[in-house]
Amino acid sequence: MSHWQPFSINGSPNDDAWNLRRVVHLHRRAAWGATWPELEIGVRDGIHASVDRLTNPATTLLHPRTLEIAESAMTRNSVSLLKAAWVNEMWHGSDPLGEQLTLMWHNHFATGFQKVKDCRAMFDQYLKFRKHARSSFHDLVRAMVRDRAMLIWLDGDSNRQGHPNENFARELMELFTLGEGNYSESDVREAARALTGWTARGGEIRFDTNGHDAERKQILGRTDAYDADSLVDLLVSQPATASRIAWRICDHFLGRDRVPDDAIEALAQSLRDSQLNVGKAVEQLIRSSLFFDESQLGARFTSPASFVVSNLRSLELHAVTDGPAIIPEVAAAWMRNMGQDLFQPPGVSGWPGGSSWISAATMIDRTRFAVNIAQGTLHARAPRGDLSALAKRYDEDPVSFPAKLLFGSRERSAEIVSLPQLLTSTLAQFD
Amino acid sequence: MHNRRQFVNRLTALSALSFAGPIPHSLAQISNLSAKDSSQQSLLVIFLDGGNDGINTVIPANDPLYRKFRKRCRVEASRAIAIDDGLFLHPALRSLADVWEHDRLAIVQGVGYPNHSRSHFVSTSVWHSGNLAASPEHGLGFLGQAMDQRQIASDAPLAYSMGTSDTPHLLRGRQTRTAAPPGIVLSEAQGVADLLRSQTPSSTDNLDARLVESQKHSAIQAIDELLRQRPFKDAQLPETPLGRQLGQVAWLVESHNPARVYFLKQAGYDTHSGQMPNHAELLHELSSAVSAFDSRMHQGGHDKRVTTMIFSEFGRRLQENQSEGTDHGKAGPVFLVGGSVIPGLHGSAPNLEQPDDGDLAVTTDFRSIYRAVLQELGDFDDPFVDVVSPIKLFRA
Repeated sequence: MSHWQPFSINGSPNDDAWNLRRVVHLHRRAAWGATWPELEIGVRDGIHASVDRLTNPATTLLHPRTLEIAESAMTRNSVSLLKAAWVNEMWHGSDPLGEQLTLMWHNHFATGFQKVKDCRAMFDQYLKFRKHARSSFHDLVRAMVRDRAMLIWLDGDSNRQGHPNENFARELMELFTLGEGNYSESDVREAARALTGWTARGGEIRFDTNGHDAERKQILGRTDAYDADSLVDLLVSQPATASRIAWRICDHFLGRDRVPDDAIEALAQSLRDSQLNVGKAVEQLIRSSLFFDESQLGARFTSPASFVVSNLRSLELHAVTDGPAIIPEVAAAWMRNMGQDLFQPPGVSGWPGGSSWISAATMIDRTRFAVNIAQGTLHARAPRGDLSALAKRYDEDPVSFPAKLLFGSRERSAEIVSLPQLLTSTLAQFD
Repeated sequence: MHNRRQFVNRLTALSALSFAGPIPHSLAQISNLSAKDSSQQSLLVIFLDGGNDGINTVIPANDPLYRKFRKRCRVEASRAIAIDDGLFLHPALRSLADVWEHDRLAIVQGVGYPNHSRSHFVSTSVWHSGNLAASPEHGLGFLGQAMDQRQIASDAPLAYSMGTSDTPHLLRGRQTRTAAPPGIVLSEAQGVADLLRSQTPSSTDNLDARLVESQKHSAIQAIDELLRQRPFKDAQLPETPLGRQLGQVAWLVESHNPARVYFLKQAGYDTHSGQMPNHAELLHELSSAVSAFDSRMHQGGHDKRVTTMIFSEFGRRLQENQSEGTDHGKAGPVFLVGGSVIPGLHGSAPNLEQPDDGDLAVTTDFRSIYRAVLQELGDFDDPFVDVVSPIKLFRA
């Protein structure tokens, strides 16, 4: 039986299998949370139209305000502003699924401003993640071997003929493509030679023929005069690469260790069949019976990105009509407090995710965040999160509305639960 | 790591909004576990960022060569604190000298590594990674690696970094997780604890939900502890950036946080010009914060559980420069503080008559100190087994 067959409403024993809970699920995983009107549209339009909206966005152009913030981030080389630009795109962008994939690739090719020290390089890399978010993984890796931020981050810059630096070669094999155990130390040394010649000095990417080792190299049992591109060709053609990408997609959309190995392998096979077309695989996943399975609903540890960006969006604090909205820079700073600092992942292997998001310290920060939202004290003149006002606006029962909005839950609690209680409940630590 | 049982046992019990029932027994078990974990040794690392002038920290004040090379950047014996025959501590280290008097300070002299780099970035990454061929600011840190296996068995981050937004190189591992201290102001603390306490814990069998609840429980405990100890803490640690950060470390240790390594850095040691007043100020802040931290650990009965290690990426040149400062050099002293250290001087002082290209020559490989520390920590992996021998720095 296939885990990835389409989720079927008719095949379900439950008549209203397409319900508010699954609409919330879809938007928490494949977008950045949903406002109440967006949830109502999702319920009304059904699964196909709801998924189509995410997989076929009308445009993938950056939101004008995102560009503005990014421009000033680059002018001042301010990484806090760059984070703000990204949060703005998560909130207001026309391609929320693409933005989820962009975060997935940032985590996969985890590159940190702390070493790159250049917002322009970080933003360029971010644009590549967006551009190739749904394309062939092959194109994305080709873009990465000539990416300035990546070359600085993994010392590709100091990798020259006669002075090979194995850093990039090792991570390219271990983290980005094949995965551990699928290559030898000698493959790393030889691959480092293939990658020689690319430099990022003076703010520009250049291929220096004199710095490139054009001799033959033996990699994964094959001998050729490999260069960066033919090395990438070789690596992405290995079956192990599809397995690693399938794992990454499942990790991002379903959470760490939430998918059985045979399902990951089945998704890997789909990827191989499509020449690593990521968009296809992701679409297959978010239409699947496994994605919408009861066991997956509310079963993933909520990441700081989801806790901050999606909750604020559901509460409509990202776009207040009658006053200033939450400042995206502040939202990004809270994500950092909770352990997910955009553009500054903890190391080359990205954020460990899963249960690592939850600690006493992060629970304190999530609680403080919730209290500050409710009090309107996230920053000066910040809007106040107000569930009763939202319930009133949408003519909903104030007692049941909060859990419907945030969890798609139909249970009616005995009394009104306050926003801080709701956001610090154990339930809210999962999405 | 994939666990099919966990996969099957997903959160079916989580659909109800508020949970009913008593605190599960597992909570008590989890608390016991963490209490046991935190009874193990932990390490506080203070990194003196910029290259501390070691010879003006532990000073051969009467050595004619010291007096010859240092005219303006010189500490006179009459003002310094004598600790050994011909060896003095900088006068700004007055409170650390008390720690020395109480037999709780070890000083390892002439520490560095072969072919010492004078680059901040290269040398910092060498010290942080333990790898002589390390690349600046990248790769794994020696403590991060040493803790990887322990982290797999622990749900809580095993490392804390105070006052840094990213994970310091030293703590980077494949598994090791680094947390920042709860950035909670006291005016908010009670409200946060009350809110968390107001929630009825679930009686769920779901392991993930239990993890969340146990962490909330730890958060409440940590805040209670913070509030309980506040007057004591305020009375004890200096109101300086370093003092405040060490106050947080003290709080975490006293709260039996399962973390095993705490990292903080004090910047400003790159004293190329106008060194004397700046250096004295830095050493004063360091000394008063560390000695207050040590006495608080000692009074609380925690001092056998935590050792402090203080190092810098390099010492400075023997010959002062023309700007009343000193340039990048090589060997420098490493300090270890706590109830488990063998107090006194260790290693041999660099011989000023035989400098290494104008710098203090290295007499002790820094990794031999790391090895001693790793052995003291007990259950960490030791990446340097085949590289150097440990030196004896801790009581049996």
